[in-house]
This record gives sequence, C-alpha cells and structure tokens, in this order.
Amino acid sequence: MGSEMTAFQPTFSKPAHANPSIQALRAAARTRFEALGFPTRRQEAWRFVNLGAVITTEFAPERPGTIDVTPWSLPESLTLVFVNGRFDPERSNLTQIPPGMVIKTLADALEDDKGVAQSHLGTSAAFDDHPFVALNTAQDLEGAFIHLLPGTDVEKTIHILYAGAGKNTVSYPRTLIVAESGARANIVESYVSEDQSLSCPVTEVAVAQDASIHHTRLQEEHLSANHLGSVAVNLGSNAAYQLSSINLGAAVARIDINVSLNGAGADASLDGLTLVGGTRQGDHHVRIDHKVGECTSTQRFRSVLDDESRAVFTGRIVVAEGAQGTDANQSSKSLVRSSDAVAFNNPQLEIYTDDVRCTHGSTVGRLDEEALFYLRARGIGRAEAEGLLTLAFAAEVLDAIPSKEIRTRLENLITTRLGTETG
Amino acid sequence: MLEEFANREYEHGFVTDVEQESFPPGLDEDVVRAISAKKNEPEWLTQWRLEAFRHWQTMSEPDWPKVEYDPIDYQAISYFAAPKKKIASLDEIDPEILKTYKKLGIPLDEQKALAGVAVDAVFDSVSVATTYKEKLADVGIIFCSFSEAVQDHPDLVRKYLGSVVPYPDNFFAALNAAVFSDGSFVYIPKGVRCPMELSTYFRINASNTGQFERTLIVADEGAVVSYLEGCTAPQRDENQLHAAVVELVALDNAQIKYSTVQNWYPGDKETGAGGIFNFVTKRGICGKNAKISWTQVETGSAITWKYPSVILKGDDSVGEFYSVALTAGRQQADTGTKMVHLGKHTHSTIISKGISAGRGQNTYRGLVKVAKRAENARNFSQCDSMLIGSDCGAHTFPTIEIHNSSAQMEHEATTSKIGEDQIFYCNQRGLSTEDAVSMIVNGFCKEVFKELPMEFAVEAQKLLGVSLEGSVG
Repeated sequence: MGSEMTAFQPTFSKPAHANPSIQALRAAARTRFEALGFPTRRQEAWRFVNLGAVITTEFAPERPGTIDVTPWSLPESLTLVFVNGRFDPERSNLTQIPPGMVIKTLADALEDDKGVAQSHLGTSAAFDDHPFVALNTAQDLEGAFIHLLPGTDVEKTIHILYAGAGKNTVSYPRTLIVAESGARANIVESYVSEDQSLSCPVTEVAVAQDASIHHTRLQEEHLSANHLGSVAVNLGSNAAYQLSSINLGAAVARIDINVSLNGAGADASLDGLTLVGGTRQGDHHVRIDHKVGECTSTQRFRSVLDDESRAVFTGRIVVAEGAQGTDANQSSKSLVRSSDAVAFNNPQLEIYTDDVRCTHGSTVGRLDEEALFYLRARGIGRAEAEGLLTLAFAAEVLDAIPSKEIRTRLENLITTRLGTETG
Repeated sequence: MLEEFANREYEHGFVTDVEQESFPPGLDEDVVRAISAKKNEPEWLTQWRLEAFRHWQTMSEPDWPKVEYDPIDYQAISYFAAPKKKIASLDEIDPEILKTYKKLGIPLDEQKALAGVAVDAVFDSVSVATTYKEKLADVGIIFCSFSEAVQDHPDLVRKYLGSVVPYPDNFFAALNAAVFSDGSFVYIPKGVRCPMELSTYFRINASNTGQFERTLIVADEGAVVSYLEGCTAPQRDENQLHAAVVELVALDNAQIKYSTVQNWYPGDKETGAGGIFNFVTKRGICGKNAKISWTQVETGSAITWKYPSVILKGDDSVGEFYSVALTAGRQQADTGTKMVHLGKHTHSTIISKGISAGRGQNTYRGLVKVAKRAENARNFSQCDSMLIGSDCGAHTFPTIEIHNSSAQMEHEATTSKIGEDQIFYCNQRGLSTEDAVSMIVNGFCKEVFKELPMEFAVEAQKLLGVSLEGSVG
C-alpha cells in the first residue's frame, strides 16, 4: 500500500455475480487497488488535494440507511434512488418507462442474458492508474443501468440519486449509461449525504454514433463528507456528450472526468462549477483524448473560492498522432473572494499532430471593483452586489443545464450559500 | 531545395585539434578535490563543492520532464579539460583556437574594432581570454572568468555563490556545484549602467567532456546590465552533457537583461544520436523595484531542459521571459519559466513561442506562483505553439498557484498548424512556400525577437531559417 497510517481499510465482499468475466474484472481491480494504494501528494495527479481526512477516518459500508431525499428529487422524472449504495425501490419512480429504454439496477442488468451491461462495464473507466476507480470496480458494482436502444429519444429527465445515510459510511456507486445510435436523453446524477461519509462513485457513459447525451452531475454532499468520483465517457462518430458538473458539497471533492473521442465528428462539451468555502477542497481533473480527427471539444470550468478553501482545475487535452482537424478549446476561471483561499489551475495541452486548433485560457482574480461600484451606486448593498456578480460568474455554467428546475434551485442555493459564507 | 537543406551538415560541426589536459572519466570526492586544487581554490569553496557532491549522491535524476534519452553514465564522463598552454595575452592564444573562433564568427583578435562587445570566450573549461576588462574596470565593473573571480574577488563570490540556486536545488544544479569548471562573473557596482553589452560564447569541445559552466551576475543597487550568451558546439557521435547554472542577483532598483541564442548540435536528423544534452538551471532574484528579463532563442541541442526563473522578492519588481524554442529532426525541448511572486505589486510577463517541425517534441512547462503576501501581483502569460508536419508534438503544462486574491493573472495558450491560407496568400503574391514559411515563423516569433539585442536578433532569425529549412513540405 502506498501510504502508512491509514485508518480506512476498504473491505471487499465475495463476488456475488455468477458471471466469471465480472468476477475476473473485480478481482483484477482489487489486485490493482492493492498495488496502487491510496494516492499521496507526491503523485502529480494528486499533488494539490489533501486526502488526509479520507485516509485517517474509519469508513465502513453500512446499510440499509434512511435519509429524506425530497429536497433533491425531481418530481416529473424517472428516478432511481440508492441509499448507501443499495437500491431503494420505495423512493424510486419507474412508472411510464418509455419504449426503447431500459432502466434498472446494474446488478440486475449484469444478471440478465442480453449482455449489454457486461460488454460495456469497465470499457470506459480504466483503473490501471486510478486507485479509486480500481476500488470502485472491485466492489459490488451496485448502481444504475440505463440503456437506450437505437433512435430512442427520452423526453423525461432521468434522475439517478445516490444518497449517503449515517456517519462514516462508505459507498461505491457504479453507473453505466449506454446510448445506442441516434438515441437522446437528459440524465441527472445527484450525490447527497447527511454526515461525514465517503463516496467513491464511477460513472461510465458510452455514446454511440449520432447519439446525444446531456449529463448533469450534481455533487451536493454534506459539507463534511468526502467525494472521490470519476466519470468516463466514450464517444462514437458524430456523438455528442454534454456534461455539467456542479461541485457544491463535501469537504474534499475530487472529480475525475475522462472523455475519449473515438469517432470522427464527435463533440464533447464539458462544463464545471466548483463552489468552496471554509477549509474545503474542490478538484476537477479532466482529460480529453482526441483519438481521431475531425472532433471538437469544449471545456468551461469555473470556481468560486471563499475563506481558506482550495480549488483545483487540471485539464489536459491530448491530441493523438493523426487526429487531424481537431478543434479543442478550454477555459478555466477562478474567482477568489478571500485572501486565504488558494486556486490552482493546470491547463495542459499534449499534441502529436499538426492540423489542429487548440486553445486554453485561464484566469484567476477577484471581483471587479468597478462593477461593484456600479451596482452600489445604484443602491445595492455590498454583500448583495458581490452575490449578484458571483452568480453572474457562475451563470455561464448553470445556464447550460437543461432542467429549469435544477437551475432555479442551484441559483437560490448559491445565492444563500454566498450570503451565509461571506457574512 | 528542401531536401538540400534537410541534409545539410551542421555548419559548426568540427573539432579543434588542440592537446587537451583532461582528467580520466569518473567522478568521486577525489575528482572534486582535484578540480578545486587545479583551480587553486580556497578551502571554503572546496568544502562547498564537496557538500554539493555528497548531496548529489543522495539525489536521483528527475524523470518528470517530457523528454526521452538513454540513461547517462556519470562515471563515463571526464570532468575536467583545459587547453594546455597558459595564456597571458591574446597573441599567445593557440592559433588553432583562434581559427575555431573565426569559423564560429567570433573575431576575437579583431573584436576591439568591433561594435563594443566584450567577449569572455570559454574554450572547454578554462577561459581563454578576456578583453575589454580595462575599459569596464574604469567604471568599476568586474567582468572576468569565474576562476579569476574566485582568486581576485573571493568575498563577492562567497557572498553570492549559491544564493539564488543553492546546490540542493536539483540534481543537475548539485552536479554543477560539485564539478563546475569555469564560467563568467559579472559585478556591476551601485548606480552604474554598463556601457556595453557583455557577451560570452560557450563552446563544448574535446570528446567525452561534459561542460559545467557557472555564471554569476550581480547588479548592485541601481545598476543596469545586458548580458548575451551564445553557444555552438562541434559535431560529435557521443552525447555531450551540459549542466550549467546561471545565477542573477538584481539588488534594489537594478536591471539585468540576459539573452541567449543556443544552437548546439542537435544530433543526427534521423536517430538523434550525438546531440547535446542541455540541462540548465537559470534563476534570478529581484530586490525592490528591480527587473530581470530573460530572452532565449533555443534552436539547438538534442534535449533542452531549462526553466529560466525569476524570484520577485522585492516589492514592485518585474520579471520577464521571452522565449522561442524550435525543435526539428529528433529534438526534444522541455522549457519554460517560473515566476515566483513574493513582493507586493510585482509584475511578470511570459511570452513563449514553440515551433515543432519534423519529429520534434516541444514542451512548455511553467509555474506562476503568487505568495500570500504578494498583494496586487500581476501576471500575463502567453504560450503559442506552431506545428509544422504531422509527426511533431507540442505540449503545454503551465501551473498556476494563487495564494492571494488580489492577484490578477491571465494565461493563454494556442496551438495551431502553420496557416495554409497565409502560405497561399504569400504564394499568390509570388513568394515561394519556403520564403512564406520563413516569413510566417519569423512573424510568429517577432514579439520575442524584438527583445533581443540587434546583432542577436539577426543571428536568431538566420538560425531559425536554417533550422527550419528542410522541415517544410
């Protein structure tokens, strides 16, 4: 194991799945996790995030638990709720599932005979050099499975809610989304908790030719919780994937996003917003692989820092040899509202071919005094003016979320949070 | 025509046949002591070298740069080589060496008639001649070889040696501290504006000899100096290691401008064999209201590993970094800068232009750090990469660490192919593709070239043209 003095010793259950290939995958992942150990700050990818609280707390799986999830639920949606990693049918809503769509638990999907879940599991989320993806893969693989058959256009929002109940509990939610050619859907993933807990979720998304997925990922865990999540996406030709990763909760929130553009004409558009205060840490770690030519990608990441918080953005664009005609853009901006907060920006380009257009821009700064003055000259108090300008800064990311309900709720939440945290 | 340029032999690739007094290959404490003894160094310096050597033994070679090369056998390198004859005046210089300089275009024996550039020419490890010293001495400027400075100005050397780049800083800096052979020393007294551009030409010669330069430039309060460094090296089959250290100290209100044109042998076009390994630590420290400006044009070397940095310690100090790095053939460059803002109201500017052609791999790696006390720090960074040909690579790894909310920093980077429409536009107007590319690339680098002193700017443009020709298809 990489680090000494670890109180958190993950446990591994016996593989329940009858399928030998799943068993083999879990065993390989476990071996890999045991070889990698917990990351240390000497590792470049984990240099800016302090996992001390994660490693020194004795987390243990505990189930079942109860938690009121109504504040986060979306009434009109197809909903799958998991509490402490276990499916909760009572809180879920799976009525009126449109034709051409499969929505069920991953455990059930892995048991069925069609093999879609099996063949896609582990294909996007590589665990070779990511200890927490390995840890997740070695677990029970409980979570949501969504399969969109060719041409299926789902109008309803699909909502997957992972809730952590109780203190010092750990869960490893696993989500698998498979969109076949021409399918479209709007999927919302929420992570919530009520106490100091740990969640290590992995979400795999496979978007086939001409399919289009909008993925809203809301991390609203308890402010003392720990969240070490990964999103891994594979895109086929002319596929479109849009992500809005909203990072609001948890004391330590690290989200790895890996997108691979495997077919010509694929487009990935990734937005992220991190809001941190207190001594909390938020880290978006993005990698986009342009494996073939004629693909486009856009990244827009924003962070707002208060108090003694820390926000990290690492974004790497890798353009493979021969991926001619790539167009990749990245912008990361940090709004630092306290002199004790620390912002780290690591925009990275790795380009192995010539016919490309890649840009990145990064800024760190505080609120514009002139804009504040303008608002205050019109009778708006300083705190309110700051809130307004900060909301405007975040709006670029929030506006891309398709669900108006979520947008409104987040706007209200952010306004209150900014008000209470800055005094 | 392109083929012709591509297959062109390295212009400066020749070997001067001068009898060399070299140590046998190998490195241990005795070698360090012997180097020190050879240079008749005081005890404190010998001890400093030994401490550095002992520390170096505990370190491991960095593996984070994005470059690939066969492991270096540090015991297979000879750590000292000196031309045998002792030199008292220019007339006594070995005619072979003088000829070498002439081939390189440094007319050492005519230089007094030239544009007022004092040259401290380094041939292998010992300074051969230093001119214009008297003229500079009139205004109190010390410009001499490092070994002379150790003899004549031990207090100054002792005060500033290792003050910017301490020996434990990194693997190559520690190695340099242990075995550094010679280099240049400059001291500009208070309030003096150096009347001419100071310049030194480095040259690696003698097979199997690493060269470990150490340069120390101290600009006392209110002093102003511009220093030029240029390098060429003869063609060799074995890789030659160069691990230099440059330390700049700009005290309050002082200004140092350090310009480099580097065109060492880049190695065989196909295999990359024989090129120079250039692992350099360059750093400057600014006092109050001081300014340090690095300008570099890197076109040579098989591997370049170099991050000229500025520590903005004093309030209101300014750091600048202007760089053009070109990699063609099999060249690899991992270069950039570090701007560490410690003082209040400190400003830094980074302009980096990377050009990759052939199978070259060009990496910009940089750090902008604003410390907690650095109120109102300001940084602007721009890293542009141009790609010519589909087998090359351009990479950007900037790191931005902001510990103070009043900081304003901006970073921009673009990577793009050389503009087809621009070439087409030029072609339409009767310019050949070759000329068009040269024009476009020179335009791309203009922001950096304009920072170079005149004669360097001319050389740099030529160099770029020569290095690129053959890569454009």
